[in-house]
Amino acid sequence: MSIVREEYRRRAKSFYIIFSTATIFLIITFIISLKIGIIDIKFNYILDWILIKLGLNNKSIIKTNIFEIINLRFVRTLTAFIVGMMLSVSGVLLQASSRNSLADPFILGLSSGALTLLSAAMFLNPVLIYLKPIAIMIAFIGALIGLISTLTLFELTGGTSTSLILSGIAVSATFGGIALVFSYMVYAKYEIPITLYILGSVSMTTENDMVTMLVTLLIGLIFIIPLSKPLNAILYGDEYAKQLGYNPKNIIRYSSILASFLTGVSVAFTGIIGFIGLIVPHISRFLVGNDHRYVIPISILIGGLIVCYSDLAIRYISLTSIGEIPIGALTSVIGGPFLAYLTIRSLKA
Amino acid sequence: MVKIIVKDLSVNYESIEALKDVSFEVYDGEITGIIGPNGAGKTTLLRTLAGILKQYKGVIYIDGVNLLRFSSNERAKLIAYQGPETPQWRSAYVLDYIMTSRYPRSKGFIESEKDLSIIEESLKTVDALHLTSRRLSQLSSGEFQRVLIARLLSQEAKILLIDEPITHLDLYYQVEVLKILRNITRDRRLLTIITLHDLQLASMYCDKLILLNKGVIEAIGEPKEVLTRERISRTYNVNVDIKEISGKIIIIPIETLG
Repeated sequence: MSIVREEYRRRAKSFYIIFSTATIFLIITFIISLKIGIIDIKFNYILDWILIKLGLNNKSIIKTNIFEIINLRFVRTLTAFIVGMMLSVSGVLLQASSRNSLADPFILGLSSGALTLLSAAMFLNPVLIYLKPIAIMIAFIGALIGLISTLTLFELTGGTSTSLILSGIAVSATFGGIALVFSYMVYAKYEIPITLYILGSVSMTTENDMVTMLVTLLIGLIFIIPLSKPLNAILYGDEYAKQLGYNPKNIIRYSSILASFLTGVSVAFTGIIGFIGLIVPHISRFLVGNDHRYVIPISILIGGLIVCYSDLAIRYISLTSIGEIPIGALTSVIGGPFLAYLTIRSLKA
Repeated sequence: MVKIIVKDLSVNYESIEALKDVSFEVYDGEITGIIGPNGAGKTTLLRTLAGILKQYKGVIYIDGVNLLRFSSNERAKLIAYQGPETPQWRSAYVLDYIMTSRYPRSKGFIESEKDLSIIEESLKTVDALHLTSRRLSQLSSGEFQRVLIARLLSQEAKILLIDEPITHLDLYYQVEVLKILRNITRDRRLLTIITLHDLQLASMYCDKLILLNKGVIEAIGEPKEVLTRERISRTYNVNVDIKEISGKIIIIPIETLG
């Protein structure tokens, strides 16, 4: 057996093991998430609910209010999973195409760009809160504006990896502030609690949103799979990718559009949840290496899990007298120190 | 058979005339060294031949076909280029990096058995098989340079263009890398063009030298013809002495000229 083949097979094997473990974990987490909350729900009720939902059983043993609670938790859990997946993939795309492991949709101003345009649009027309497809488009364009602003500033400041992050911070601070102003104006004028979007919440979606969320996630995934190999090539430099026959500008363009789309959708449904796109790619690379054919699927699963566990933690905390804290606050508490750690590591190297 | 013909090549790079009316021919089985002082246009010439720089006057024919007529994928299968920019994502493993070199040829989503055999064989050629599961950041300069060459080989291109393959290497690896390049060029009938600063090693390992100065070819031909005392002194502004010992020429720098 040759060394290269052996190493190649070893990687594939460890990918499959991690992938299946994470998938099983995801299913278990889903069930736990339906169970835990202010009211603890028995497992046989959950099983019954699943059978009814799948159309395998039509005689329910559960009371309507329990059924409704499971329904609400289902929507909330699915939202957490999908948003986690979208933000993680977005982070993978941004980190690879900028070759900067500190890149993230929150740090590079995509999230705050999305919320700025969305809250401004809602101030002009509050009906938008019900028109999700349009809200998604607006948030997508906002995210793209945020990213383009950062990239423009990045070009102007010399194009080093530190200047990318500093440019992102400048842009996200600016848009973050504008978004805050618009959100309060929307709240003052129409009493729509859009202020919840500033620090994110997975409790604002309804059952009707689930199809849209799933479809947009699928669109994102369909487009990202063919990008895996080009992303691997661009990691080693623009000129390198070019001599392999790729157009590095196109790879960066596609990645930027896709990352903005996924961030836009997640902001339209849950507001700004920071640092997921930063942390998850690092965990995935730690587990499966640098090949995007492995990194992307693993990031999807880990992203879903992390946001779901953050939400579970929030629900657990809300059992105390503190009440429900925003999910973005929690991800910042974890993500901030993680960013500090990465900064130290990357600047020391 | 591979042949490159360059006719009246002029390149303006960042509004400086980097190359002026450069014409030459090179063949497979030959290793050609581009030499010349800093800023002579060595890297620009290499980047243009690699199809990276596309704004130029004149024509480059590869086996009779204009370089600009190749699709980028056809070009990637024909020409493997290593520029001055070394791989950036240093936390990647050697295998991650080298697998990407198969992308122009392997269109599937995963690697074929053939891809893996060629990667294995390329790493073995440069004695770097034991580095397969190391990170790029963990390699010494000598190991790194060998991995870069393994990558060029596994791309299976007929033309290799390498910018300064022996810079930053100790004497052992300078000789070792040039020896590897000369051997593979001869054994596999490749067409190899490298840029070099070391005239001594250039004279020993290159079949042909192109001496560039301020974007113009000063001389082209066999090392002994190109490296004359008067020409080197004038081009480099350094007074040199050239001696011949047992068939090899020895270049001795004496002093810089004002």
